[in-house]
Amino acid sequence: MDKQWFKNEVNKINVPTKEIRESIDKGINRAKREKRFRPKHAVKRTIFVSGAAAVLLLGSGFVSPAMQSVLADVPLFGKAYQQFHDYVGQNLVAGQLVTELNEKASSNNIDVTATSVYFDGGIIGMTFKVKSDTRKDLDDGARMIHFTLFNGERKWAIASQGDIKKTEDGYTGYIQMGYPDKHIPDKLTLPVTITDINGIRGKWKFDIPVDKLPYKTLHVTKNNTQSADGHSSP
Amino acid sequence: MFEGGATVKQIRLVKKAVAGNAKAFETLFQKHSDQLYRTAYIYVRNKEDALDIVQETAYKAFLSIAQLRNPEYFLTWLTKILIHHAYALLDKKKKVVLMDRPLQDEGQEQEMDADDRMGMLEAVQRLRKEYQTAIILFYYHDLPIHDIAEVMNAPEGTVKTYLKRAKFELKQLLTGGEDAWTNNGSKTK
Repeated sequence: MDKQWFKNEVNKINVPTKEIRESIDKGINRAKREKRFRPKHAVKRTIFVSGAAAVLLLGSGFVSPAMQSVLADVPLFGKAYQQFHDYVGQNLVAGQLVTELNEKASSNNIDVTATSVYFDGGIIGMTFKVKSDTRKDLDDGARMIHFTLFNGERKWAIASQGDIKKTEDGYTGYIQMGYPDKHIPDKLTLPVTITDINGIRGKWKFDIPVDKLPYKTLHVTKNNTQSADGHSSP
Repeated sequence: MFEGGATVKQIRLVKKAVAGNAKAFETLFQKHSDQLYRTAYIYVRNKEDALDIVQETAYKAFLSIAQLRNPEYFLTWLTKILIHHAYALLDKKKKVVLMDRPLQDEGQEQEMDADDRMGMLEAVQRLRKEYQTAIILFYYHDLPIHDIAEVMNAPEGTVKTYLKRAKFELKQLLTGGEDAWTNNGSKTK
């Protein structure tokens, strides 16, 4: 088939210039309106996430100096949570309350493995290992990870954030979110699709099994002391 | 990939648009609007739906333009969004069409002003989605295989196969008799 012929045929399609212009304007204006509202959500999210983080920091134990040494013994995702300054994650790793995963997905010659997940009743955190033997351009783009949760459902998009850091043999990806609903289930399957890593588009799909950790009752008395593993004894 | 006229000037415009400049975005979009509209039209074969797709594309693209990292890929990126919306609309339609009227009716309706051109476009529309997209991107957008693979999220080898099969089916549709048409139509739909 001849390219020019095909093009000529397609170019015979009438173009309603004026209406196209209107459609474009409509689209852009809708987007503009939505963009204007976005900062609000961002602020809300920050308050929610930091609020939840503060509450949970108390809930899942106190950061203790002893933890550093414990973390040193947990080389894999313990370090990852440290890298992303996730204190909740670090604490849970120290208490061996983080679930290890090994779910792999490949796209565009890049392998992504979900390595760990935790859910302490308010915050869900997870780590990924990103590796590619052939895609050298993985280092070229800005360090960024794009993803959708529950096929891009808005409340999840608002509640979540992701980050990516370079490691010795690739990258570590990290996603954290505050659970966006009032009703908190004991178990859920979280569909995560990573769509872009350092500017390389692809589709890395995961169904992450998330189990909520049991709540702990803390009896706070005047004499409350901290145990070595960072958890107060009940 | 450098799309024909992807000049320094255009790249500068794209960078402005990425930074959030609505005017620059509009100018760029306008510049490619004919091609985008026609692409949408090939999928849906009617003005209203094609315009809807263009509008959705403008909306989605303007919302996420900050994520575009390679300015040279602006048009490819837009095209990807457009095709995504075209697929979505077709999927939605398919459900409706299947429920309340047989496909043949639709075919006849469109054949009213059938001539050679309709023959070709109609034939393209009867192909599987993947084949349509491969054909459109290769023949109309002039994209190299590598970029088509990027737009379609598929390995290059797969794209080559799509193209080969699409060409074969197109040829059959265009030269085959009325029987081959309807048979093939109902099979691929």
